[in-house]
Amino acid sequence: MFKISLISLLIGIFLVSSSLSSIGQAQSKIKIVFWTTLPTGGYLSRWIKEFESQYPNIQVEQQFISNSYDEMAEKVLASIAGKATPNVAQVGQRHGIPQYVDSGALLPAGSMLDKNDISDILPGLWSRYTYKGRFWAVPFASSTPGLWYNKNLFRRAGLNPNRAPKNWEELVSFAKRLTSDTNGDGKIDQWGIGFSEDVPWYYRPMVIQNGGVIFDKNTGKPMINSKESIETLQFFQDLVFKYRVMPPLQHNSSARDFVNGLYGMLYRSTSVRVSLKKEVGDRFELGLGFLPGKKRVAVGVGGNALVLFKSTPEKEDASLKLIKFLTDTRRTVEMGLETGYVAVRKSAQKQSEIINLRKNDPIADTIYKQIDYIKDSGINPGDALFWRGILRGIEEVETSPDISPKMILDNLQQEILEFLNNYGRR
Amino acid sequence: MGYKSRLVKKILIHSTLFTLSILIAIPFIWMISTSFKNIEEVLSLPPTWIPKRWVFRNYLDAVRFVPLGRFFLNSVVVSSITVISQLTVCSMSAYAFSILKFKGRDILFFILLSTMAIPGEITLIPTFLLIRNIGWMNTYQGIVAPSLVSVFGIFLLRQFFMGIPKELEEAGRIDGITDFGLLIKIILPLSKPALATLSLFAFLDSWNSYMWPLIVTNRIEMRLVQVGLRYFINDELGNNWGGLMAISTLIIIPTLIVFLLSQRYFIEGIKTSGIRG
Amino acid sequence: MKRAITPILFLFPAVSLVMIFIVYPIFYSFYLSLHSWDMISPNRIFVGFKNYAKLIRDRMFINALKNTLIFTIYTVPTQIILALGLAILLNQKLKGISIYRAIFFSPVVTSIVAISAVWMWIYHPSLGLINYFFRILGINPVNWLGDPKTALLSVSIMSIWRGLGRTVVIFLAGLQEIPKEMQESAQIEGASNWQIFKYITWKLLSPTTFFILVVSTINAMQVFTQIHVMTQGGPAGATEVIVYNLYYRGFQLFQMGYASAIAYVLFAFIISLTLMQKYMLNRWVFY
Repeated sequence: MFKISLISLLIGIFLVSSSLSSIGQAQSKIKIVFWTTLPTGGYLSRWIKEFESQYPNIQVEQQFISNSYDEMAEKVLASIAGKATPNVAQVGQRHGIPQYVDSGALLPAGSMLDKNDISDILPGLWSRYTYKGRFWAVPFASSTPGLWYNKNLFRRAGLNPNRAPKNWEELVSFAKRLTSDTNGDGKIDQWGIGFSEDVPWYYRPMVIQNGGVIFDKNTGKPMINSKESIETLQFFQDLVFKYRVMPPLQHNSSARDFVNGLYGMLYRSTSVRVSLKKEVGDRFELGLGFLPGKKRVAVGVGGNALVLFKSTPEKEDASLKLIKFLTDTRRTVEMGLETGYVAVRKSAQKQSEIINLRKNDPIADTIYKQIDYIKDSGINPGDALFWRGILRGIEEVETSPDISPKMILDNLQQEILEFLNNYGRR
Repeated sequence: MGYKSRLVKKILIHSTLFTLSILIAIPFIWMISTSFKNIEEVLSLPPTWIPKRWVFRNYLDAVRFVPLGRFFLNSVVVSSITVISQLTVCSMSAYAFSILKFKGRDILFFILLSTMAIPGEITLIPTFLLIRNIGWMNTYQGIVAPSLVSVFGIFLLRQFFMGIPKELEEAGRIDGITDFGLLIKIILPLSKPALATLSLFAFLDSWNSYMWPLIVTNRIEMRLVQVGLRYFINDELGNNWGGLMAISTLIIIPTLIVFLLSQRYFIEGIKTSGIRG
Repeated sequence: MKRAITPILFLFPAVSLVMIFIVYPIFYSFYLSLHSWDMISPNRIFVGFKNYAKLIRDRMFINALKNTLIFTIYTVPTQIILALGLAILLNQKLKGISIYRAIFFSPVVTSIVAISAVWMWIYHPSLGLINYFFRILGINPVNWLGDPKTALLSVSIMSIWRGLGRTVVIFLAGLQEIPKEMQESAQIEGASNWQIFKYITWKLLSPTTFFILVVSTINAMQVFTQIHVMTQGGPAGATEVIVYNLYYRGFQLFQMGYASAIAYVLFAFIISLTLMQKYMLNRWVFY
């Protein structure tokens, strides 16, 4: 009897004290949960500390989920389904955001920024994060594709090592000169051009360079089998079979080959700016050029962005403050300096650190020159279908010169149309 | 003659095993060797088997950046609970499905077995919703709940229990032993190899589990060792191959220890089978 | 009276846990498979068996089904034969046998993410280990994971490599159960090694073999992680398997209902394969 009453007394004290302490905390601090693709302990954690000291009434709990965007997407999906969302999350742009929006879990964080902030962030980025006329995410760590090249091989082929190909025609002619059989065994062992594994990410701006679009900006209708898109897929087939400057089906292995000097040029993200230099070491001199243009110059955008989940007004407010802080000019500059990601604010590019970076590093300079050409057609619920379909299509046209790019794209267009129809009817 | 042919046989077995084990070990050796290389050498052509310059930084990074101690503790707790629970629960039901006779036994067993045919990827979110509704997010019980029982384990033990000679069971029955007594005193001691196998697999699966713990926990303090790998993977900024291989090497050490420990029971199994006569 | 309650007592813990944590989510996904729903949007539409009907015309799914069956045919028999041979070798009393056992088991303990990366290096068309040896031997290099003709085979080889140790361990445990005396007395009576294997080992091992056959078929039909890491179903759909297809539908296109229907078709295939195996092997499985 005595034991039981003692235990219940203890439990009572515990309950009261814990509820008291939680009341005390609720009054003094607003707690928000932030899911990140960056592990704790890095620059992001440092910024969160800075944020907390600037806003003493807000407490941010950084929860490192995974740096795989796919896994983050699974986690976010589960959290929306289970009504256990965080307040802010760092998510990839490849697929997912439109569905989160349509579930009603998000607030249009981008559109909720101040007018000055919106216009300070490059318009090309907003063009990517637009859905149903609003900006649903704030670009955080952004990257762009670029054309990396091997200056030593350029010199050996009699090309100017300080000039990358400006357009598709030049790309082909440069690549032809770079393709060779170096050991004379009758097989080509040095290739002119390669694409890294995320080929659809290069395909997207290539269609735009050719004057087309992927999805119609206003209606969201897919334009996958447009003339411009067919020509682009044809170009991939031609690189392999007509010009013979690209080995077929080697997108997953090309990055490592490039490091070892087996490719003259490589389409790859510029976010590897720092790590690629380390990987190449003193093997050769690295160069970077714009993505070659066609009818116009265009480049895509990748990386991740911050989304804001609905909660209570005061948490939403605190979360928006966090998003603003993490994407402000100061943080944007630091991001551009510490990582391979690019500082996407106009004001950030006027800061002395970025100006110095560009002065001292011609590669960084190229990256910053290119970001003014970011063009995209908004996020779309069918993005994942586009990605997979194009990847598969490129692999198919590289298998045989007889496969028709038009047929592949007609099928894909049909598939995406059907998907979007069903999606709209839901 | 007998001695000679045995010697030839021994040499044959040794050379076969040796060649095969080299083949099997190549990726493994490569992993360990890469964990001591710097990034430039990792990608070099031709590949080097022994690092030209030994780099220990990768291991230093693994220990410095990753809260490995906490991850190990969590994984040990989760794996131990899983092993103990599966041994208890699976052996009891395997006993019912093999030794006991009751109506509908085989049909019930088949229904149980058929649950293995649904892939875990599709039940991931429904299971998550369940655990969340129970209120077990971010807890050890939430992580272990779906693996407290294993249909694989029931099946495995059932097959082994069925192989135990009936005479032993009947001898026990005559002595008036209860079913629990029979299970604990006769069946389990005779099934040490099978129990060791189940423990090994239960340990291994929870040690290697990744997606489920990720879905059911938010706080990094609740994560298991496999998350450690994620600190070194970054497709956008370039992977840290050396670090990835270093941490992979570190986290397999406990599983290898468990394997070596469970080996003892395989050898013991040979001895106990002697009673059967 | 007491007898009737015993099975219930013995089964209660397992059955209750299975009902809550395994059967409930399975039923939930069946419910999902009858809907057009992504699990997060406010409106879910009941579509009955339409998701299943759609699957018949889904080329991506048919291709995945075909690849999954090929993968199963590539891996399951090879793995069982290799593992049985190895287990018999490893069951000898020899010096250093435990080291060999550890080596054969080592692939099982590796984390699949890291080891897939290692295999991608091994398979690399220009810098990889296999082509390095091929070149020395004067064989034309092969674009292992990149060529649609060899990609599924390459993934299968890696999967056999990784799964072999598990199967060996189960066979080893099965071999321990066979009374040594039976083999010894057969030997004294002048039986050859092959006869001993055929009439004693193989027969007494049959419950274990049956177990391995069923479990490895299920595992092969559900292959996912190494495909997700190494090929993402490519090139040109050559390694697209059912669970990868299901994952893509569910988690990237948010077609959870449709993905659940895929899971149930897979379920039907696995169950019929298991029943077939049981029927065919009933003759030699001795309990």
